[in-house]
Amino acid sequence: MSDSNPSASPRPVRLESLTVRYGAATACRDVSLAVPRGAVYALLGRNGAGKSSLVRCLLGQQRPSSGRALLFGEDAWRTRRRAMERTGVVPEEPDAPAAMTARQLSDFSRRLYPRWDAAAVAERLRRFAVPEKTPFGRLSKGQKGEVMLALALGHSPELLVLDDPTLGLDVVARRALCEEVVGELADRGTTVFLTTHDLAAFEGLATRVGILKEGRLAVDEDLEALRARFRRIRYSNRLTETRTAFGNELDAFDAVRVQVRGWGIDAVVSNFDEAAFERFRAIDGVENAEASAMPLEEIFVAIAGEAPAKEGAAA
Amino acid sequence: MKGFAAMFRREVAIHRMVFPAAAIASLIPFAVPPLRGLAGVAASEARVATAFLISAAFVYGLIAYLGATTLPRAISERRIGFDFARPVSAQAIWAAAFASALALGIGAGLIAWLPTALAERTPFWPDALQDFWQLGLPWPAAAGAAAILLFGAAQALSIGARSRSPVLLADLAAGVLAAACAALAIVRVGFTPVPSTTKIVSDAIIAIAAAAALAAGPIALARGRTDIRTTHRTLSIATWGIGFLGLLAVHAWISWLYLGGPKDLTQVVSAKPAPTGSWTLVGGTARGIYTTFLYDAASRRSVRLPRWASTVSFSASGGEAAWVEGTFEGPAKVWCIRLDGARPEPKVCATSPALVRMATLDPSGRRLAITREDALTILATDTGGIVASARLSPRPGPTEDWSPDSGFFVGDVFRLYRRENVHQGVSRMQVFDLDLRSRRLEETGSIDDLHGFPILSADREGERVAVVEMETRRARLVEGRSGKTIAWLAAEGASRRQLAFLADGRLAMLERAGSLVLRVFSRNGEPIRTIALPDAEQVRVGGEFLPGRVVVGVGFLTDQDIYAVDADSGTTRLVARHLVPAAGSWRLFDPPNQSLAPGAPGTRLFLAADETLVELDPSTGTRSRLLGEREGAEDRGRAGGIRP
Repeated sequence: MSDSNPSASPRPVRLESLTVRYGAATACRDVSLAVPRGAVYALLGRNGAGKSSLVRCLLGQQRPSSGRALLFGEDAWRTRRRAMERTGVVPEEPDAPAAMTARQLSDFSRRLYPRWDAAAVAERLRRFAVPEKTPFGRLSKGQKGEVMLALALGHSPELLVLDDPTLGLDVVARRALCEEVVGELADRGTTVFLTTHDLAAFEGLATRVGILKEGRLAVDEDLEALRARFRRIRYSNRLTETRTAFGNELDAFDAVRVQVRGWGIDAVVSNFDEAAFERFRAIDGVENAEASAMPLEEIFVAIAGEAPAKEGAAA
Repeated sequence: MKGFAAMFRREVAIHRMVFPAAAIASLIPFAVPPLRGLAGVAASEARVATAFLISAAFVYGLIAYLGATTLPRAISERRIGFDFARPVSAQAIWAAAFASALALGIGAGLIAWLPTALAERTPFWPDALQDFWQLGLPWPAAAGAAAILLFGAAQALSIGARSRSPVLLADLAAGVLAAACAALAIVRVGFTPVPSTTKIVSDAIIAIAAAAALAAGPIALARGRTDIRTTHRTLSIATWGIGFLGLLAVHAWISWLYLGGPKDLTQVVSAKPAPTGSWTLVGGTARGIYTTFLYDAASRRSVRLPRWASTVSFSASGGEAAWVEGTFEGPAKVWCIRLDGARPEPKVCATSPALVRMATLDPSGRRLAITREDALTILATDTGGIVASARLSPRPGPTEDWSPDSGFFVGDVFRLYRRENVHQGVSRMQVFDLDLRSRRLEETGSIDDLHGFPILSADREGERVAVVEMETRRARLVEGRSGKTIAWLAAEGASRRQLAFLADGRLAMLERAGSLVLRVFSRNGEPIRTIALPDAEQVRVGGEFLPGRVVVGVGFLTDQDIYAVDADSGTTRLVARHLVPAAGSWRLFDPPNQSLAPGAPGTRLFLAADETLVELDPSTGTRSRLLGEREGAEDRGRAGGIRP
């Protein structure tokens, strides 16, 4: 099972037409993506979009209904054990044995990984201020997440998979976790594949974004390119009586959402470019047109939040 | 391996508190003897028994608890993802869970047992328990199998319950079916009087169950991983797949056992030769199953008889045979066979919803008499049609002392001897004649004042019948039709008496009363001669290998010295050792007139002490092995013939 591009070194993560079904329900449908070495891939999606199923397939913990997930160019289901030697995992729910302390967990992991760095783990736990001798089950949610991250990084993995790691964490714990990931990226250039709801926390880290919508991968591109093509455009129309009716003037931008406000039109477009915008401004009747960049969260809401629809009456 | 070791250590560390708990529990036996209700039980015994129970509870309780919780709970809560996110194989995860459960259980059990063992100087396995162990497996193997089955069953039940999948219903059905298949396998071999085969089958079923539990767990975990429903489905498929394949193999093996022929006989324990000809009914162990065959020593052809075949009857020529197949309660089938064909094939001559007490062929083999409790029927063996039938009146008195009916054909008459039920230890035997031409049943007489079970022998014409009472050993000669006593041959007082008619109508009676003698009587029951024989515990009259010359076995039940006795001159000669005459071994159920013809091949058949069937010429002492472990091999062992 090798990567489909033999000339390049295998990508750490590759999904090929991955589909996961549970009986009649489909969690993921025909998802294909690839994460290059050193990238930080953020997979976004609403609850139930299929993110966790996809991560389980990626980690070789669940067999896809069709398609396949590749880790380092090999089928994750078949070669899970080997792939896990190079992968660190922080699950959505911290799942370490409740009776074991952080130190015991580190000792346990030391026997499994030849490159286990117990000192680095201990240092991280110290930085996180996690008590080493408290059973895992008695730690706070944030501390559990920190222990899981410390364990995930203990063998200097080439790939770090984070499944909604900040879920339920307070601001301080969230920031500490993100800083640790940033540090790891800075030190080692580890490839990161993460799923999250916490877009703000990882916006500065992600280099590439995927958005799952109803099981399908609606977006899969570099974050900068995504940001560049999404804009919020606000304008009014002096030719119409209400100044809020609109016609097909937004067609060039592939509007994903158009809302009518009291003062005019508020549209989110997915195919923005400056030249087209200048032509838009020159359209007779368009007044006060302005385009503003959007944070990732708003882009995500625009794509995954609602189906694209024009609201209000056509001009 | 490092994955297994790490997981094993982790599980033991997580559950390490069971060891101090066991240490505390180990003190309980020392507090037991003063308890109420144990008066009369030695303190030492009470301590040992309590410690053993506590120890067993720790061992098997922990194994069951950990089997039901460790992996099933982790899978259903998806916490198993922690292990699957590490470079550890599913097999290692399962093996570590199983091995740690075993280690924790055994370790805690030993700790709970140790103080009592040291104080009472008792071994880890109390001797008394060895006596209760019936399976025959060595106890470590049995305890290991129990641990595997317990762990596997607890795990399977827990996974099934947690998955809440409809597969659980299929599991229930498969479980019932598997139990039925296993029980059927035991039943198929259980009724053979060969315990080793039953033990092999029961051990194999335990081994299959253990193998299914050992293999299905890791397979299910490897396929299901974090998905409890897939794990459950795979566990079911693997468990029942392995289980049913194993049971199929067991049943195939049992079927193969039942296909064994006479050449597979390793032990021959009974033989009944036909009156003439070379066919013999042979019973023994072939492929671990007790089996009976009709075997032709001349052509080596054979016919396997059903498991419940009884009361086998030959025609006078030995060319036909019949037998009854059925359990004691019925129903029954009566089978007939022509043995002189190229490929003898038995056919059903008659069926009966109730027990058939007797089936007797006429000398020609064309007619068959059968009795049920209430009827006597004569059938034509070629068509199965009824030649004659008559109702029999109910027997008076209690029925617990059951005895077979007896009878024989005299021309166109069937003469039936039917014992009335016991009344204060005394019974009578009714004599009926069923005339096949008039189809009339007539009670022609009775043999009265019988004490205990009577054994009958009749002359070839059916005119005279010799009767020996099993209880008193009294012997008399009676008229065949009326039952009237012609002569008393012997009063009670002997420990052994056997009677046989010689071909010329004289009677030979082997008697052990102080010493062992063969008495020869005239046709009218008058003593002619008494021939002394070496005394022995067991005796048997064989056939006439030459007119007037009888073989007699003297010694033990299955190991006798064979003497050739000349009834005319009174001389005896030792001809072989370690043999038993085949003739007469079925005396109790034989038709009374079915003794061997003088010089018939059956007179030269003997059962050897090493459980083989041997042909011996009493005239020359030459012998050869016919059936048994070393078929056809020349006899060079201790059972050698003695030449004159």
